[in-house]
Amino acid sequence: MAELDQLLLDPTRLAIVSLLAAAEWAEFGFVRDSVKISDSALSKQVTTLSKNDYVEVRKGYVGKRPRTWLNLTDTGRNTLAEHISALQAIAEKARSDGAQQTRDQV
Amino acid sequence: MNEPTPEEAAAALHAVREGRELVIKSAAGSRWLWVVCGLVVFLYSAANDLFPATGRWLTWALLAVCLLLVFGTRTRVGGTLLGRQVSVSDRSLPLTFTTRLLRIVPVLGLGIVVSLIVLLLHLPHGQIYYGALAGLYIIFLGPRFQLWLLRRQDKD
Repeated sequence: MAELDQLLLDPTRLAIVSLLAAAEWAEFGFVRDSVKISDSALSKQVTTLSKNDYVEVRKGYVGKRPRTWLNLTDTGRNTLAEHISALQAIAEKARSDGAQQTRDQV
Repeated sequence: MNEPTPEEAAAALHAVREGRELVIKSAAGSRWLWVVCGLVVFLYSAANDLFPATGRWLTWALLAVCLLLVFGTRTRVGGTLLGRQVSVSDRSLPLTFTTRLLRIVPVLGLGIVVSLIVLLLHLPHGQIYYGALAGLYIIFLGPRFQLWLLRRQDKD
């Protein structure tokens, strides 16, 4: 059975990782605006995720402006896939339990 | 570990789907890129038809434009220069023969249909018709087709 990941139980971290899962890479600003958090809050979450090898951070310059790009590592992708399977199992179990209860009442 | 309640699990799954959709939609956001691609195809076909002697030169020019587009769409720096903040991942698209075929079938089919019409009706300037139709397809249906293909990832 798929296991839940402790790190991804945090909704903000899950939102960041889900966003990055659909992307090859994303700019820091895009993730910040999509998840609707501040620069510092995103920095903190990204540090946690990169320490656990979920997210890779690349810094560079385009012209004179510094840029930061984020991408999900293979570890991050696999962990997210497993986490999603575990969440689906919980939701599915609740649905089937609910259906069973309805049948019992009838 | 605190196991989420079914409601929390459903909310988390919804958030995951929203994140994916947000990134996929951002791919369709840079519409002007499709317009440029459509115009390039039309201009290349029209120029090839009207000035066949410049065919070799035109092919080099087309190759240069293609390289620029690849740089702009496949690299981080290129994407940022083009104003794209995110590059959509198609790595979960299955690399089956059908999926590969799906990507080229519309333009290929259009080519076959136009060739047949041009041949049967003996129309001059067939390449211009093909360029115009392929260009219009890329500009108007290209983004929709890409969205559909990317959304298939969830279903496959």
